[in-house]
Amino acid sequence: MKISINWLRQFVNIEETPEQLADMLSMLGMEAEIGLDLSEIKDVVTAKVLAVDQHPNADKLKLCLVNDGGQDYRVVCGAPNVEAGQVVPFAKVGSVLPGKIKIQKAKIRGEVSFGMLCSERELGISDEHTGIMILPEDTEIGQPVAEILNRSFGSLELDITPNRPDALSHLGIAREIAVKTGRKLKKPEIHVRTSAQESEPVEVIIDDPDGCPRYVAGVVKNVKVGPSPQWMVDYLKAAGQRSINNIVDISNYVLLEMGHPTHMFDYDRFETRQVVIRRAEKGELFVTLDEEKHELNEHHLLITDGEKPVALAGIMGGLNSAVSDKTNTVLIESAYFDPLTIRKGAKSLGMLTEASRRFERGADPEATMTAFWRIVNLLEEYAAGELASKVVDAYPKIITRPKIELRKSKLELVSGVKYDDQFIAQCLSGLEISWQQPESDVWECIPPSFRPDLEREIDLIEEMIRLQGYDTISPSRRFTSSFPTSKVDPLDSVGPIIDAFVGLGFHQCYNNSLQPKKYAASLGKTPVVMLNPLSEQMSVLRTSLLPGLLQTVDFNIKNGNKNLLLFETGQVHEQESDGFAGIKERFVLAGVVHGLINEKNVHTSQDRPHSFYSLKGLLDSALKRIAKTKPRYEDQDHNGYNPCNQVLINDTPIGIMGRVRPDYIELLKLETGDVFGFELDLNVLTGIYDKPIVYKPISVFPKINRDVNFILDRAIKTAAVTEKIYKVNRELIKDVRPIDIYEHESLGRDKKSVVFNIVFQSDVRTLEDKEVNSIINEIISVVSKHFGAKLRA
Amino acid sequence: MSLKESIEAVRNSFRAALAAFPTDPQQVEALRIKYLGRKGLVADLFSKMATLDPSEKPLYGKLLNQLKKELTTAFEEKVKEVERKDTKSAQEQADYTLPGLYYPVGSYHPLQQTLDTIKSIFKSIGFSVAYGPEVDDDYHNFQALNIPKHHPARDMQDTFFIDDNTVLRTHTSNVQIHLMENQEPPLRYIVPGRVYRNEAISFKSFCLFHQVEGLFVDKYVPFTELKGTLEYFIRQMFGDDKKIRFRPSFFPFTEPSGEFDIWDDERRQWMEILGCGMVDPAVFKNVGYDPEIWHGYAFGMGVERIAMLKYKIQDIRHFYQGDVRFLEQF
Repeated sequence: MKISINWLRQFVNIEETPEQLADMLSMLGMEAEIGLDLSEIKDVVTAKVLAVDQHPNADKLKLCLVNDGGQDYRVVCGAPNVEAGQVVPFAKVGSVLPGKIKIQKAKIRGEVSFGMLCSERELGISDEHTGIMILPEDTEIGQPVAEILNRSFGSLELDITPNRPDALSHLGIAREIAVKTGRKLKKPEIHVRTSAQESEPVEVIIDDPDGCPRYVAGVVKNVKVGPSPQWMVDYLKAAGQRSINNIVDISNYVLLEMGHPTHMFDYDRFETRQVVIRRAEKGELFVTLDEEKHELNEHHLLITDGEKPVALAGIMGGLNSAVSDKTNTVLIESAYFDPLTIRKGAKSLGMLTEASRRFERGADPEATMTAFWRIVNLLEEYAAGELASKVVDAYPKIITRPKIELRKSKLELVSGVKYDDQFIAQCLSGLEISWQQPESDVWECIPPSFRPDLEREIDLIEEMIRLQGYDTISPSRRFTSSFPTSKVDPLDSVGPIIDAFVGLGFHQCYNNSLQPKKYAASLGKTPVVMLNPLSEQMSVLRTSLLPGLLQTVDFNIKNGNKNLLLFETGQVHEQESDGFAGIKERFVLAGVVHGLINEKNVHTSQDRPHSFYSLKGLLDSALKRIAKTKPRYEDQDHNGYNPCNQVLINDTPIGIMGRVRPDYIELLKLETGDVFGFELDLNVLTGIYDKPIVYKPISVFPKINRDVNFILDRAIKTAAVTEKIYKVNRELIKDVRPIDIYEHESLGRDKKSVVFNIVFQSDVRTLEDKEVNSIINEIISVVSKHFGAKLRA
Repeated sequence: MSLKESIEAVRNSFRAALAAFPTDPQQVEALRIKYLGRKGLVADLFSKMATLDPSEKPLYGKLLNQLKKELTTAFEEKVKEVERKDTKSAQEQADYTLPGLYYPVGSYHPLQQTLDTIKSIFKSIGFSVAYGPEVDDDYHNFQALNIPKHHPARDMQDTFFIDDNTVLRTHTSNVQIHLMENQEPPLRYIVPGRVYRNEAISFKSFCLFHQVEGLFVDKYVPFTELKGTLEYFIRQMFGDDKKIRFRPSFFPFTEPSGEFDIWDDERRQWMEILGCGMVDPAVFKNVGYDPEIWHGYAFGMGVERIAMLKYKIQDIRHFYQGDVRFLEQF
């Protein structure tokens, strides 16, 4: 919300600079920034227009002679409103306007111009650009314009939290300043007419007292629609509001002054002399004064003229009863509407107006009367209006304020600070909370009607701490562990797991969890779908980290990075069965490799591309680090990978790996080429990492290395043979590895020769050749029998 | 020539050969064979021992062994010396300015690094770590946190809905409720996690980000403690020279509430980095804690915001793009 500093001065003395004021308000909980920064305007001064002549070569341009208090300057000006005798902002050659526009000497249609006369838009004050800005005639000449404009247009941009509807007004902000500084708050004077001619009848009928607890109405006739006084135009402008005409401006002025929304109807356009407040019917249509047509439902509250709806209560008036240039008689509405009703109504239409913003946060039920009279007073003074009806105050549902007990002991317990009675009393009174102190520890308080947020003791405690100032509260730190914790972080071991992959050269990614349905539903999984997605591209939660990583691969290839090792940890979700209970969340780690392990270089003559086996090796390495044991791989069918292996550690499946299927990459509409990927279950993996390590004594006895060369059917998997060899003697066989594979027709059709290197070692004695030979014989016999293998000579 | 003279002759001739040591490896080997080979001059002298009188054998045996050892050592040293010279000249010829073999270098995501720092600071002052669901019911994300349906405070957090009653959590505060529902006070936790907001994507906002929530409940946890602890955190995170401010704010689940801002010299404005406050009594009532006995504070911070300040990143979207040119900088 934009606040005019000059307007604030009406209600409280301000001695601070705009910066100091912004700081003070921020420290009171109303985060403030300087709204209009005129410091950018450099070297623009006030100047007097001495003479205006027609430009010889252009009909629409004028040649002006201006004086800045010292020198005379010739300036070409295109504004239609320039006249001799005016005081105007003059940007001399060399001065800088907002947007860093520097003014230079220029030749315009053959005439030299030594500077520029500025419009409000050029100065950054408003959007006004139809003519140059005219300053009051008595403005001193030769003064920096920034200083003069700051006086009228200096403003603050405030961020008001939703609990403080009272602060959505100049008076409300002034009250905060007054309480904080101890200065006096001067409220606007209200003149209540006790007698008036009652020529205009008006009756208010409230069908829905819950939606409209209070409705004040009255009629003012003979209004003269016209321009507003300059001071009002300037105030509104500084607060970011354009002047429309005196009637509309008065309503806006009162809204921004005291925060209470009112509405003015053209009473001549009413069918009856009744105002009826009722709920809308489902499907009822209504056109608001911004010419938008709305379809309503039973959430909406309507103001009707007894026949037709004339306003969407608390949100916006209707086009059919709007004030126009020809308006003569106005009906003033000053009501209190139920916050929830207005919120639901506005929300369902996607509308947020100055009025609805205040009503839905909680307007002041007592301000209905003061705002009404303020409007009447201003209409009388600035629109020649006359109050012509009795003042109707329909108040079927009285709104009361709670009595709150504030205990000083609780205040001190919550804050950790000692307070003295005088401070508490000053704050309560300054906030217009009525109070008495029946006991030394107890303050009985009744908050004012404009503070709906004050309902409980803690609300008052907050006010005390807030007004004392968060900056003046001395911090304390105990940092004592007053209670034990068994495991400080259940996912501690995710750290070392990430370390293992980073250490191998993987970059860690954080990809978007929100994906197109096409991505997340692609592997036969059912994604969790959002009701209100940002776009179709982000309409469901990811079911796997793989599509995101593939997208990242695609992105990087297109940006010139062709060799990639990427991984990510994160949550994935699946809708396993209906409803909230059917949503399953899993914590996973996935990675991809793409491109070359090694480009050819001075040491290596060939490119080495990534492959199924390079990924397998990377996983071996990472998982050995994590699990302290080598993983095992088993063939698996998968619609995302081919070939695909299941990855196991100590017979526990922990995930899958393989070459990502090209048809899957194509399905995602990506162009990556070969990608090898893996997905691991992090909950299982952290469990494995967390298993305690038990040291095994190192064998001091020598290892014996033997190679055995088998001729096998080509279809036989080496892993199966390796496994079989191990089983022959689990105690003494320490390692089995295929080290050479050879295929040649001399071996026979569909045969291959595989050399296995076998390492023998005992933990307790030196092995003898004899013993090893007998194990080798057994291996040969087992492998021959099982796989039909032959020993190769 | 006596054997003794023969020994001296071999020794002298070997010394001469050593002085004119060949450079060709074959000649070096020939020299070795000539003196120290199985049929070399030294072996030849040993074979002559058989002709000696048994009483002379021990003396000559000793002399011959001495000779053999002396020659072997001298030869080996000469070979090493020559090798050293060779290596040196080879070194002068080879191009050791060539690049090394390639090994890839990985990286930790900047959000991971920032999160790790945040976690370690709070762990060091007695906080445990807890985690909770990203998809939660309206009750845990809103209502139990004193944000009823249709409350204007809901506008502070644009929400993704799965159904009328299920949301993508808008903050990690839902875990506060889970923690307090499942255990008795006192308790002290931080809760890191991913949260979602239905906001248009731009350089300063994304549809998701990461938060670290904090919660400390005990009998005496005053506001001064909240201020002190979080100031300590900010100092640890950003250093002592940063300008910070602590100002009142509003959150439905804390009262009084506040926000910490840090002055950003580049943008020349205050940047909000942390929201906090004393746990609202209504929240305690919702989880069955007696607000007359238990007090506490809670806080929440955006990991992205902190990382952006720390690394001077201007566009939040960089975090989620996986651009290696970005990642490899961290």
